[in-house]
Parts: sequence; C-alpha cells; structure tokens
Amino acid sequence: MEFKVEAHRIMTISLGKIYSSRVQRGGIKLHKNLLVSLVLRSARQVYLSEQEELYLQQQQQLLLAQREQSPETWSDRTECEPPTEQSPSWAEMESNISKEQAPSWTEMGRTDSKEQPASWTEVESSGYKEQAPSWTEMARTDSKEPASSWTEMESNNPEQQAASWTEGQRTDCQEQPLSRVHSEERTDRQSPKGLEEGRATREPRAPCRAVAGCPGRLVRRTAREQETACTRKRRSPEQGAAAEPASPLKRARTEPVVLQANSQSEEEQMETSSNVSSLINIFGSSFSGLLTKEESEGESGQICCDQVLGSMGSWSRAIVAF
Amino acid sequence: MAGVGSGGNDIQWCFSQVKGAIDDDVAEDFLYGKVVYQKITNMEVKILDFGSHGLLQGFKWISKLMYWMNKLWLLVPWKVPVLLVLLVKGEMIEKPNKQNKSQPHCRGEYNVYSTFQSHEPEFDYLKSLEIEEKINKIRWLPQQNAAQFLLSTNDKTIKLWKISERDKRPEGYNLKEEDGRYRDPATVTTLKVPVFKPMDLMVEASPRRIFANAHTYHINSISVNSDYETYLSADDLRINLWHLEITDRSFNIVDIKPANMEELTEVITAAEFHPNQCNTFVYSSSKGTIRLCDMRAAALCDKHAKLFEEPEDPSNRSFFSEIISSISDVKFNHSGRYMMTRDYLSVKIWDLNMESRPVETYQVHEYLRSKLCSLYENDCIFDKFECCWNGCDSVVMTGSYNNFFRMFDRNTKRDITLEASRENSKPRAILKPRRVCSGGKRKKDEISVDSLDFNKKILHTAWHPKENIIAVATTNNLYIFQDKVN
Repeated sequence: MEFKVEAHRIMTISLGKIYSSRVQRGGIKLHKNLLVSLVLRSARQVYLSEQEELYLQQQQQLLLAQREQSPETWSDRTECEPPTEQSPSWAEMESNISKEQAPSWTEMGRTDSKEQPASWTEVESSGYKEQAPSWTEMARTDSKEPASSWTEMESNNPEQQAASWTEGQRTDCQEQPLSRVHSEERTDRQSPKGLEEGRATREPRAPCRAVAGCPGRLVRRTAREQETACTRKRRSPEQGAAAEPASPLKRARTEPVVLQANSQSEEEQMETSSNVSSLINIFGSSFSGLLTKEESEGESGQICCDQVLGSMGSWSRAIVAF
Repeated sequence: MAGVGSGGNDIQWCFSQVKGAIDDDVAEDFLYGKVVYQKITNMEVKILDFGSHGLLQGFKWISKLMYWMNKLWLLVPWKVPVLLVLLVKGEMIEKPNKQNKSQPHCRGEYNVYSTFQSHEPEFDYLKSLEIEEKINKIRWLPQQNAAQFLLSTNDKTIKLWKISERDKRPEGYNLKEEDGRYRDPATVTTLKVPVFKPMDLMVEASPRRIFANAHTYHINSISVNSDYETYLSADDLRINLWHLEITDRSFNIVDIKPANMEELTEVITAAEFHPNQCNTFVYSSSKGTIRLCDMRAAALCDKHAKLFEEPEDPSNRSFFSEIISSISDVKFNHSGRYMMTRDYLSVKIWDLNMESRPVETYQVHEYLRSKLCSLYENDCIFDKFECCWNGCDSVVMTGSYNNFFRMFDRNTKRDITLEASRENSKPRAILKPRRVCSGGKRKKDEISVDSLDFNKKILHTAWHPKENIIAVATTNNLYIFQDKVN
C-alpha cells in the first residue's frame, strides 16, 4: 500500500518537473526530461498495478454475485454498471491521472492545426522543420492506421481474436475503470498477443462506453484505445511501454482520428450508435461540450471534472508552449 | 596512497590555497546585469615560466569553474561563463626523494592569469529559445607555440580561444606620437626604427575559431583527438567530428536519434577520444552503457565496436534505478588501457579488453541509496559529477556532497574522504579524513547522512598530471591542495 502512495507522490513530482522544465532558461533539457519520464512511467506502472490488485479482489466478489445470472451475453455487458464502491477510488485515480489527461483535453479542444504534438517531438527543442514533418507524418500514419487495423482485424484469425476478445470483454466490462490498466498491462506483458489484444480490447470497450458514468472514464478509454493503437503500431511491448510516458500528451493528437475508426467499428458491431454519436458531439464541441454532458452524469463525473478543470489552466498554457 | 615518484607511502594532503568569496553562501539572486568587472590588466599578474616545464600545457583544469573572486578583484556572478585561467608562480623547490636524488618538484602559488567571457547569451529566433552562455566544457589543446589554446563550449557553439601574452610593445613610430596621435608627415625630419620595449604583462584572449550551428541538442562534451587536428563534440543524440581549422562543416559520426522520437530511450551523456589511438572514441549513455567506436570501420559509427555494460543488480531495483545508472563522466587513463565512468553513486573502472563488467567499482556515497526519493525531489539526483585520474593512474578522485571529495587508491584499495571547507583552510593545514555514518550509532567526528548539506557539492576536480596537486571546485570557491612537503 505504501508503494501506491509513494508511486503517486513520485508521479506528482515528476509531472511537476516536466512542467517546470519548460519555463526554464536554455530550452528543454532532453536528458533530464527523459529520466523524469522514465521515473514517471515506472511509478505509474506500480501505481496502476496496485490499483489493479485492489480491483481484482473486488472483481472476484462480483463474479460470485454474477454467477447466478444468465450466461454472459453482449447485452449483459452493455448494461453492466460499475460497482459503486469502485467509484470513489476511481475518482481518486482520476485526480491522479487527471493531470495527464488534461493535456489531452486541452489539445482536443484545440482545433488549431498548428498545435505541435507533445511528447518527445516537442521535448526536443529541435527546429520547427523537424517538428512539422513528424507531426504530419504522425497524423498520416495514424489516419491510415485505424483503418488498416480494422481491416486487419477482420481478416485476422477469427478464433484467436474471438478468444481474446471474449476475454477482453469479460475483464474489460466488469472492470471498466480498469480498462486502462488492463490494456496497459496486456500490452506490456503479453508481447506476442499485443497486436490482437490491443485490437480486441478496443471492441468491448466501445459498448461499455455507453454505460460509463464518468465521462472522464469515457475519454480515458478512448485515450486508451488511442494508446493501444500507438503501441500496436510499434508492435512490441517494450516500445509500447516506452511510448507511455509520452502517451498522455500524445493522446489527443491522434484521438479524433482514431475516434472515427472507433465509432465505425462500434456502430457495426454494437449498434450503440446513439451513444457514440453523442460522444463524438462531445469531442467535436471541445471541452465545454464535455462539461455540459458531464453535469448530467453521476457524482463521480463531477469529481473528475473538477479535477481536470483545476489543472486545465496551467496545462493549457503548458501545452501551447510545448 | 601512492604518489608520484614514491612508493606506497600515504600522502597527507594539506591545504594550499583557496580562491573565492569569504562568504560561502551562493548569492543566487545575482543576475547577469549585476557584474562588476575590473580589467585584468590593471591587476598585478605573476609572470610565469612556461617553457622548461610546460606545466600549464599538461594541466587539465576543471572544465567548468564556478568561481567567485573576492571583492578586490572581480565580482562575478555564479553562472557567468567567465573563464579563469590560473597559473603557477613558477617557483622551483628542490626536494630530495627517498633515494636522496634531487628531483625538482614544483610548488607554488596559483594566481589569476586571465579572465574573459567566452560566450554571450543568444536567442534562437526559429525556436524561440534562449541559448545560455553557461559553459559546459573546456578542453585544453596541446601547446604548440607560445600561446595557449583551449576549446570551450556552451549548449550550441564551440569556440577556440587563443590566450597569448604580450610583454613588449613597439615604441618610436615615425608617423605616430607616443599617445597615438598622428604626426603631420611634413614635420618628420628624421627616421628611426621602432623598437620593442618591455611593458607590463598583458594576457589577451582572442577567439580564433567559432564552430556553430552543428548541434540541435545541448552539447555536453568535447574531446580533442590525439592527432591534435580534430576534435569531437557530443550532444544528447549526436556526435560530430570537427577539424580545428574548418568551421563551416563537421562530420556526424554518431547518431542515435530514433526515427520516431517517442521511442527514445537513451541519450549520449559524455564522449571522449582515446588518448593514443586517434581512430577510437567512446561515448556513454544515460542507460549506463559505454560504447567504443572505431572510425575506421565506417563513416557513421552507429554500430559500436565494443559495448561495455554491467548487468543490473535486481536487488537494487527502484524507481530511480535508471537515473542513478546514467553515466555523468567518462575518462580514459593516461595509457588508454582503462577508462573510468562515474554514475550517481559509484565510480567504475573498465578494462577496454573486457566488456562484460568493470574491473573495479568504488562506491562514492552508498549511504545515499536510501535517500534517492528526496534527492529526486530536490533535483540533486541529476547532478553530474566528474572524476579524474592522478598522474600515474593509481588513484582516482571524484566529488560528493557537503563539499566532500573522495579518493580511491587502486593499488591498496583504500579510500579517503576529505572536505573542502574554509574551516580547514589554514596554510599548510593537514586535511583530516571525514566519515559519514549511514545509520545506527554516530561515532565522534562522524557526520550523519541527514546533516549533509546537499547544496554544497563538488562536481569538478582535477589532478596535476605530474605532481600531487589537486584542484577542487565547490559551489563558489576553488580549493587547491598539495601533498605535504617536508
């Protein structure tokens, strides 16, 4: 338990360091920021794995409760609600991660195409030329990628996919708040299946999206898909893990693109188009749209909204500079 | 500790000089504007005898001096990149050694020789970034004529400086008066040849070459090749090879920038040429690996010839394992057979013939391992300590916190901790070894880990190549210690 507190503290300090490094004289120091991001990543892994252990315990209780129900169908999962006891800790996790999320929010809200992508492309204080091509390159790759991965998934081994999909479904829906953890875990630990599972986890998450009480969770899930999309691109767990420190900042850039692909897959598979389109509306109308939608959601949504709001001001400035 | 020219006798270090402000507090609020300069030429400067001993030539000084002068001379803010070149006064003392043979040893005082500002702050308009004028590294060039040459670098630009003396000036011009006014040619009735008359010694520093615009990232190292014609400069991701005469181009010899910057996992932290083989250089990384490259193998030395890496001890794994394994300094010994690396907690000596692990490891301040979290918070964990060899490669030295510095004797396997402080600074005062106790009972004269002052750090040290004279830089003072002369 102390590890969790310690990890959380280290994460906060690391984020503070990254933020303050941008205002110091002489430009961003690549070496120091790389080290800080490595610390951030290990702290986050520890933190999230501790979270996961907690939820695993709670999930076992859930399993016992749900055993009496009918065999799991997709509709069941669609309706499954997160246990209420998870919400407070979820909000807690929100507050921790909100700082990381906020940059992605801000970027999402920003339609300025000149917005430079975050992560190392920006951390390196390299020439503008260097940044611009990589950003467009990223945009190009990412716009192609969801489409290609969708076709890939279709043509892929259906059994394997189905198997992992089911697995992904089960774990993912019942642990909605942990979707992030699991996919992260999966990409980290199960290297050969990283591709399939990355794809697979996208699907089950979509229906769960309709159910989620916290819009922050929704977006995070999208962000998670985003992240797996990126890790998929790299096709290796190490690289996926390495991408993670950059991913909070990187998420938003490719998010709208991936979202389109996501929405397609969802509609085809799940017929929850109404929920998805509302989500697209949220993103389309930027952060203010998200806020209005949020107010109708649960209390946990309110909490995470406050957290994100609180840190948004400083982060939006930070993102601009980045 | 073995010393130059003697057997295994322990050296007793005694205080020689300290330069700097009396007040040890670093005045952090000094800005660039609040500088009071006094022209160095108005000061009395001791004259030095270069020729017969070439002491300055071999003496590799502290690469970056954080330096205060006392109020009478110069008041220099902490971060102003003023280069100070100190020179020995040139006194020779005959010291009989064990065999009763007279062997000249140099003892003397170091005084300020020259002061100049190497770099100016610049602004990169393209990236809207300020380029600090803070000097990252200084390297001497081998002396080839009467002048001294050195390379100094800030984050982006390397400059070659020539430091020369002038102690004569011509007098007796035909067309000019003594004060410089021009004479009317019509009034000239006789002609005379101007003669050189002695004058007060004036030391001039002039920039000879400026090597700019070759680095995207912050330059962290420069190293002069043994061919004395080329040198390398290393930034976080690339290493460039320059010719000392050519400023408008350089060759990129190492490039570890990944195609996708998000896949970045390590950066270059230091690089050095081999002292004897002009085709060999090494570079260290933030992951604790050292790569040796041979420039004959390919134009781009991305593929290393040797990779020196020690497997990590899993029992010491923590959040900060990556940070403390990052190598802050690499130094070849004088023969080039061994190299020494400094990471946050230890000094390792590698045999170039064995890549699997270092041949010697010395723990500098192992008691800090349990404090890594607080050191991370106050940014001390990012401090880049340097290390150095003594003249005969038998002792290595590096700095620590609380103005402590450590020496490790490779032969006797003994180590000593000394402190550079004003309290120990009486002339010829012998330095007392210090001890840090990590826990449990604190013995008398020991200092506990919690009472260490982490603002007082010694990052730069230097050892005279021939004598047992060391220079140690604290935050705002420069200490010079010599071995005790009986």
